[in-house]
Amino acid sequence: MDEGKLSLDLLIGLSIFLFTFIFVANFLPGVFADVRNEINLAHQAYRIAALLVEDPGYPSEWESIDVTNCTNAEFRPGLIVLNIDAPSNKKEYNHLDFNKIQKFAELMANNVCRSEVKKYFGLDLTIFGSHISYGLNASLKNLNGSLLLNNSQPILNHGDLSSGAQLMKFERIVYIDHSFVDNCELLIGDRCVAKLEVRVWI
Amino acid sequence: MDLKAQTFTLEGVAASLLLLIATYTIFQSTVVLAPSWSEFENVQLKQLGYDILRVLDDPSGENTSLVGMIKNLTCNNDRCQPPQEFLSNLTVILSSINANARTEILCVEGGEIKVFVLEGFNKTPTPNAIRVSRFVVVDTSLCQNARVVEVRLTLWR
Repeated sequence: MDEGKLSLDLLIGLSIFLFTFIFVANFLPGVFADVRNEINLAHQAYRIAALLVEDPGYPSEWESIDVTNCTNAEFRPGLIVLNIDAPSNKKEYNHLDFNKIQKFAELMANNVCRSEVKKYFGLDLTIFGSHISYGLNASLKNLNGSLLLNNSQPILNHGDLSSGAQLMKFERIVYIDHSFVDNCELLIGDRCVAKLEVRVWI
Repeated sequence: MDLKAQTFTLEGVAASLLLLIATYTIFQSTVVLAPSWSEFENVQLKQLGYDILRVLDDPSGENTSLVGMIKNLTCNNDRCQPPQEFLSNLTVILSSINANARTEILCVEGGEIKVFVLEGFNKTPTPNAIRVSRFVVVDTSLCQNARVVEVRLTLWR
């Protein structure tokens, strides 16, 4: 009498089904892990580029900070010109301040200050107990890809040395006063049009 | 033995293994493009579009600025020839970001929207093109009664 008993076929079939189901459930999220990681990097690169090109920085005189006191102050670099003569301190989006660029380059060239910059940019995080530190590199280039020079030195090509890991780049088109640039390729009025490249990796 | 509605065990095992191997092979051998990833490509291009219009909107730029370009357009019906300086500058910027563009000037006259297309930037966009625009205040002969003019840039790669 077989009623109320499980057959061997059923047990084997159920085992195969469960094994397959668990395997697929474990395997599928891993397939999209790389894509998720790249999207996260892209968002970080977008965010840093926006902070540099659309904000004058915090506090407004952040460029007074140097490598001797960068660990003692809270600051966040932003590179645009803040026109204090205009009504309500007009922010000149995409118009980069040469002095701020130089200060940013100086801080990014120093290991300790670069860590501080990354901390205040939100690129040095602890999530669920694990520490994540992103790599960051910024450069200012002519539209043809050559670095912008001042006194034969690159104006901005500073940050971490990129590793072979996943890397994401976000580009912004900006301008600075042409009098500060030795090798400007595209002038529109007195604007030297350039490309700011922000690279982020993990 | 009644075999109706039964799955043969060996065939079942073989079929499930086949499905597993096929799924594994497909996911390992192809690049998975999530929808949000292609959206991000558009975000980059759209941001570059806004940047281009900001950089070109230079009050001191004469023929190279948006205002100067609109003032010095040579129009024939809805086709307009921009100043050479503007044309060459925009061409340089677009080639540096590997993008194609369609540029239009829009203004309202007599309750009707008038659209003018710039010669040199009059290609037909692809379906995945993005569009950005900027409003400028200018006295122009394109629309006699309008001072606010929209410059519209459609970009695609």
